[in-house]
Amino acid sequence: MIDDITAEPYSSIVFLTNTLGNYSFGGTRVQKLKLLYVDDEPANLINFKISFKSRYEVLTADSAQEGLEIFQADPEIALVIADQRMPDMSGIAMLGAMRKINPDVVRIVLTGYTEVTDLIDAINKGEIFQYVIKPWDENEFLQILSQAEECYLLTREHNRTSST
Amino acid sequence: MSSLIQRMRESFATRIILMLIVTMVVMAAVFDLFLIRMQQQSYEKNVVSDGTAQASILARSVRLGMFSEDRDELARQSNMLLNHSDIKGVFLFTPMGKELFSQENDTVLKNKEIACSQTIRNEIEQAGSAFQQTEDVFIFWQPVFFDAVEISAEALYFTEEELDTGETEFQREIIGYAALIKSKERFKEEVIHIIYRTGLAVLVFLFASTVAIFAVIRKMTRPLKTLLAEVQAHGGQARGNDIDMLLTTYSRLFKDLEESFKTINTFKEGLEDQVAERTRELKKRSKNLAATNEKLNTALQELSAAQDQLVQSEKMAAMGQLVAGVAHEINNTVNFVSGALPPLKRSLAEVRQVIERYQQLDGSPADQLSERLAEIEAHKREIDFDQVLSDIELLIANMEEGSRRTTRIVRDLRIFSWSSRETWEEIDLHTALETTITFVHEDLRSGIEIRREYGDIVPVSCQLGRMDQVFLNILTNGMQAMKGRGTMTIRTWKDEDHVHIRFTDTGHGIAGENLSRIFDPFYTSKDVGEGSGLGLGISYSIVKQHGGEITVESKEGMGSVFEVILPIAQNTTK
Repeated sequence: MIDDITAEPYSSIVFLTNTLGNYSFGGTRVQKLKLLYVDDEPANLINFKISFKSRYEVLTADSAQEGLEIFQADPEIALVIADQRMPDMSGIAMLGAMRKINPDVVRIVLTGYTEVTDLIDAINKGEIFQYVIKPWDENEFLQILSQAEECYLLTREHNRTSST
Repeated sequence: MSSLIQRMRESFATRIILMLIVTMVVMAAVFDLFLIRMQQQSYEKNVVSDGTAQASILARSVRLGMFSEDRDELARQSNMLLNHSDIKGVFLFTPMGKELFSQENDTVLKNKEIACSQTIRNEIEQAGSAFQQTEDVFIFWQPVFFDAVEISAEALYFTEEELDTGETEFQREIIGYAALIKSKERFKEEVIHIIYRTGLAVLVFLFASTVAIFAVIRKMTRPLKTLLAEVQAHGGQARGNDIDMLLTTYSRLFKDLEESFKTINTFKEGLEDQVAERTRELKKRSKNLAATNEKLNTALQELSAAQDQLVQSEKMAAMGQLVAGVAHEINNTVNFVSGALPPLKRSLAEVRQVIERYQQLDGSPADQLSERLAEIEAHKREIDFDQVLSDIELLIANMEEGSRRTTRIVRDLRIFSWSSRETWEEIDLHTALETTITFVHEDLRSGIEIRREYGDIVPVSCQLGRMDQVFLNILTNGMQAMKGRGTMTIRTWKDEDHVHIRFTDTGHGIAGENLSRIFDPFYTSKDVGEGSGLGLGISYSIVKQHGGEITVESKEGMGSVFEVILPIAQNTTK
């Protein structure tokens, strides 16, 4: 039935969707992780939110300033995805600022074109965890997000054990 | 003094004179001697002749005395002769040679032996007379004849032989011999006189000729002297005599001349060689020059090729920059579409599931219908069906936005391909400017005063959309440069053939090194994505296409002035 609906290349997406569904509804973890996506293009925000809302609790902001405000207001945000090219502030700069607020947050940069030097610099400095290239492939994006999630959970676990 | 002698010895004239004098003296001496000898002989002949005649007279006068052997008679006859101072003695001999009589008046002869020897007698018999001489005297011998014939007075003046062989023929008999002794004193004196006279004459002659020679030679050698002086003045060697000097000088001159000619020849040859050498060098150099020139040309070609390549690579770099910007934009807008597709598919799948559930209601019994419907409704609630539907709308809107923006980007790029089909029309540029000003983004316009200084211009034929783009580009650039604060002055005017539109901003201006590049396609001073770098390049192309010009003047920090000049006449390239 499902195969009838979706074309072959998207079978995995459907599978993932189902898996995500399990997470959401019948899985071991009831609470979805909070995720913030900052991009100056509303279309991207919409696409992202609709694509990943079943898996994560998606917060969006259409400027770096707004993103920082939301981030500061909500300490539960586990992942931040930011577009590199924004009018008021670059994604890396914003993520750097967020790192100062909460170093545990996993930071991902989204870019339309590989500005390699900036990204390498950012990765070397430990500013960001990963980068995703636009236009994104949903599967790859999900994989990166789940890696990031794992990283976040491990860090949190580590922090808790070390603090006790 | 010695130098004078030396000089005289050296002088050619002096030498000639001396030589001539010596020759003259020698010749005169020889001539003198000859003359003396001749005179002496002539005088001697006279003396002998005189003596012979006297002896003959004696022989005649003593004939009778001899014949008679009368000594007194003989003495008498002899004394007549002896009175003559010259005659020193008279000797008379018999035919047999025996002395018959002798008388002398000089003691000198005292011891002298005067003998009538056989040889003398023979000589007398043969020749008719004989002649002897010693150092001091002459001795004249004559035979004394006796003949019967009366001797005429004339006969006394002829020699015996003439008489003998002459008309008269008679027997003659020698009865004795007479010897007359004559002193040589007078003769000697006379000879000395002769010598003195001739010597004096020769000396006078010598003196006169010497003077003449001297004068002549001096006169003749004057040019020679001048020549010598000249030669000496010009470094003639003073060694040796004049002629030697001339010779050496001449030979030296000749040698010098030869040497000079040789040197000249050598020089000439050397010169020719040098010329040839130089020519060769020049040829070589010109060849080298040509080679260098060729190299330079090659280098120039390479350089211009390199420049072309540089320009090309700059363009490529600019293109790369543009592509980076454009790629970012396109990736972004493509993401609107591609990012929407997976959720759209899922949503559509959910919608389809719902529809299928409704379709399955067809075959189900009526009593189960409401139950089934409740199930479907429950499912719809479960999947938040309304949300799914509104998501679909949002996603489609995103895709629309993505397509639209992608198309716009591509269209912007396509302007460079010159393939616009916009129509040409007469346009009032003031209206076009006003429209364009309203297009400028509100954010850019805020805080900027726009001052219009519109002049009286005529409508210009152009492509409206294109010209709008030019104005928009210039206005946008200017306003971006002013960063929300400043004045944009737009002034228009026309001259004979052109309409001018000048945009003056009070922005940050353009750095000198960038000023020349601002019309290059793809050149931008803005960040990637902020500006494609196509704006002013496109504007330049458009204005050129309209047969116009676009110029810029700017100073960093002092604002920029852009001026668009469009032709009024329609000489546009379409």
